[in-house]
Amino acid sequence: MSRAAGRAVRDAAEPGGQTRPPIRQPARPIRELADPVAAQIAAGEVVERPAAALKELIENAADAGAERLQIEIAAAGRERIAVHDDGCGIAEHELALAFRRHATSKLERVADLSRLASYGFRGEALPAIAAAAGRVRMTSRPRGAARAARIEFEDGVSLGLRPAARAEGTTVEVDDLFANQPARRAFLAGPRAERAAILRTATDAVLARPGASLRLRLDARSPLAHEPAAGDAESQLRAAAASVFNNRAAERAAWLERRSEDGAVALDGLAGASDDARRTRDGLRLFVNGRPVHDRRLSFAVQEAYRGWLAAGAFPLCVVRLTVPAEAVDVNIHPAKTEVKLRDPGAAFGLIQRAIREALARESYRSPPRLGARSHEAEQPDLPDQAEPGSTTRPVFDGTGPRVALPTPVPRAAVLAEPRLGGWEQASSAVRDERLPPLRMVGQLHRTFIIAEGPAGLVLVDQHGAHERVVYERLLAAPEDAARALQPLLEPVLINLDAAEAASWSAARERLDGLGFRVEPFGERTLRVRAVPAALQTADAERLLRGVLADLGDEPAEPERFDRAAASAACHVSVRRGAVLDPPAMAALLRDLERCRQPHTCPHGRPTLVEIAADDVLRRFGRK
Amino acid sequence: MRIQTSQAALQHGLGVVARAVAARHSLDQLRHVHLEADDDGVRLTATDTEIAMICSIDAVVSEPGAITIPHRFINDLVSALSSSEITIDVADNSLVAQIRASDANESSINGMSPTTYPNIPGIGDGDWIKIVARDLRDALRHVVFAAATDDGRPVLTGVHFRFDGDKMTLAAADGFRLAVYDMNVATELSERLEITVPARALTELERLLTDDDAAVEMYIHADRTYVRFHVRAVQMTAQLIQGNYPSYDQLIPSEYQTRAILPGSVLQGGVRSAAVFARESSGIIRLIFSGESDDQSITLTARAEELGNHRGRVDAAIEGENSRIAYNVRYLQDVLQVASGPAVSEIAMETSGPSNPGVFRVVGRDNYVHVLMPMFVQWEDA
Repeated sequence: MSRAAGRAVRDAAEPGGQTRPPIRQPARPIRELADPVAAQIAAGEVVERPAAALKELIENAADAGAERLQIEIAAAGRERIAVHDDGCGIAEHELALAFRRHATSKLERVADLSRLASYGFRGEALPAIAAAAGRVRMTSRPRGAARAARIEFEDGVSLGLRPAARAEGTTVEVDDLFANQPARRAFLAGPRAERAAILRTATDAVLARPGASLRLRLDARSPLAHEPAAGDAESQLRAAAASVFNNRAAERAAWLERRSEDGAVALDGLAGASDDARRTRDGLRLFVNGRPVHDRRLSFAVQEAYRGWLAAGAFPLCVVRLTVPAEAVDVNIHPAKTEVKLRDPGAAFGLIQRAIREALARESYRSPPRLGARSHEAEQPDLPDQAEPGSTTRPVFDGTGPRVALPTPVPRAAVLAEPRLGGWEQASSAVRDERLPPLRMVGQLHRTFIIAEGPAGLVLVDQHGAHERVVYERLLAAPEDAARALQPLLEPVLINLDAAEAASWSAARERLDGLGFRVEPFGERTLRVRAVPAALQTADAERLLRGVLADLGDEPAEPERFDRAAASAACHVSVRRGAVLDPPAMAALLRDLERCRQPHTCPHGRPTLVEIAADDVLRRFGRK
Repeated sequence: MRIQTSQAALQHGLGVVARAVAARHSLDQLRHVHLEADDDGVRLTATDTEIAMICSIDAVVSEPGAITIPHRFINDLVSALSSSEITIDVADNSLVAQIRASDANESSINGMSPTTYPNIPGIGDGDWIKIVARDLRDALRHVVFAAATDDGRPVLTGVHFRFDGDKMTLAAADGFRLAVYDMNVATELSERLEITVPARALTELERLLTDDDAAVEMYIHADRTYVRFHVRAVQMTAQLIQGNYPSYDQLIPSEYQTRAILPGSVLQGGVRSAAVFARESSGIIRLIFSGESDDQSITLTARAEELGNHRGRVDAAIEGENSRIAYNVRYLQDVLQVASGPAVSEIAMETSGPSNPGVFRVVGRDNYVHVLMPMFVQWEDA
């Protein structure tokens, strides 16, 4: 018995991990499950929703070398899923075998399992689908064969083989997918969610194999029609991204290409511009050996790489395709194969981070005009000049009075993907060195903002965010810079840690050391703080360190990545919202911010300032 | 209640207690001033619950009584009045203060019942200490600035007072620096006594002190929860900070490798120029002591990221090895500010290498020492 088969039997004995009370009926002898029962149990695992069935069918087509796929979906996949491909086809005498469990052409020996290069290998998908669905038909004509043949199943029972007409390739039609699984059917999400999942599956397929054309007809709409582009991997993937996302995003994304030092792991993909960031993780697509995966750690690596480029709560648009030696990855963790286990996750993690950061630093993204930047991009043609809808302003006074607009408190990601407003500045990305023009301090607003006058109008500066940015840049000044000095304490401070803090410290100690903390273990779960980074200018080492440890958690990170630790430390010493600042302090803060390299965002990615154009104010007063 | 007073006296009293008014507090009473008239005269009281100020003013009490009224309101009114005589009337069971000025201005201000006003702790069992105003002022000027401003360790936000016989020692520290000042007081206590007074209260006290021989009376309540200072007509009460103050004596280095002596104002001038640059980065100012027979000087350098560099030189008498040290310019300027006052001619800077605490003293006085932790920086030739 192969390993896969053995696993399937174990799975069958413990159906899907469902927690039913054990049935104690010793009178009944143990026997092997009848085949249809086992098939239905397996179906529950493999085909949990229409999108999962579609995924299996698309992967089969890919394994058959298909270059054109057509997909038809009706009623969000409940009524009908049909996949037509132009692959190598299945010989007539093998059609029946394709529907037997663990029958597959792709895996012959246990040893092959560790060198999987094909998508399918378990041989579970087709029999599972056939067992679940009301009707399944497979029509296939192998290359060079004189005619096609069709096999048909109704409620899992074969109706036999018959000749059919079809061009070379294979068609699989699945009607009434969950006819024999009423429970599964009841637990399906609504049609909207199912359609979204189907679209995700189809778009993943395009990004994984941009060289094949794919057309999706989904409930009377055609949301995806991808035609491959000629050229190298980059132009092919850009074409795929254009089909899946949009042309602009695909065009301005940065190409990623990198190999690990030992050459074993290769990475390619596209890193979307910060202006194409999204509110959900939907634009973040990860593939390992062509297989779409949902891996928390790898997604985290991508998001981490974008730190500082994106606002808090925004997710990058990013396609990352890893190629690892087949034996360095285990995809056989779950029948749906969306989880993978990499033998060396750290290498992949580092590779992703380096590739993306390098690309981001290299690319000069087109970004909306921002305070202090040369305004050569002000005439971007497709930006609406005076956008009112989706506005980031809100009236403070209603009715007849003058409309005074304030920024909504949390614009962040919500505005990222939307067109910018003429007079409003939403600093979301700060890739370039964009110094501010001189700002004249006017006053304080709500004990939260500094009101300042800039060359083009009124500027509101978030006092906490601005201070964070100033301290952050001082902290991260290059080690040879004088700014990265230590301020030792007159008397070392002892701090007792709880278990969580101790774990954070062991994960973060190198990074803290690099920032200029001098902290050493002093007995069990006690630290002795001897010095703090001079840039922080606080003697309250205990509160600072506890705050930083709580922020960092025990999430591992590369030891040379100080930025999160620096952002956290900067946050804990910066002036709070609600603090009353005197004019000299505000003027000094503005002066410090003017000297920052990326003054438009705080280290967490939130805007530090918004600008209200004088023209806008004049217009509101009817003077222009 | 019915009192007659002068506009000047009332304005002065309102000005003194204004420092204790919690102008932004949500509790009405704390934004008010409490007026009280009895056989002892008229007293104005304000408190923000951390400190309380009571100011007695010259007034004729025709009828005793009390009321609390919004401080800002009456203060603005009294400042605007030009007449010299003011009468304040509060009818029995009324919460309205009628304010009549001799120039025919007549106003009424709505107040609140005096019974809702917070109780200011009075005098009871405890210790009294008499100090000369000028001496106390000098001590506070040398010490208070070194107290911590962030409240991570509350005791460090206060100034530690230690009474031993007729000796009083004030100390303040914030983790990077320590200031200690010894002085004699006119009262000898029977036993050793230690308290920690909030630095903020002492800043207010310093404003009240005059540069003369007037006596200041300090009252420390027996349960050591509050302290009260009597400065002429003003009484200031402050909550004491509880908790053990760290023992600091061992933090004062007893030896040095290099000592520089120079007029405080000269060093201050040199630092002021370097500070322009130092402030732009992380506040680093480097001091290089040269004790060669033909060059006895301190070189001060500072660098402003991307803006430029500064190098200055001041003559100084250097004793011991050549040495160097880097300080945060803010802390350096703080100590020079006080240690180079008008009464000071020369200061002594002692160091024991770039990574050991430095010491500042006033030449000719052994009652003040300031310890400052240097910054660890990269030295160009190191």
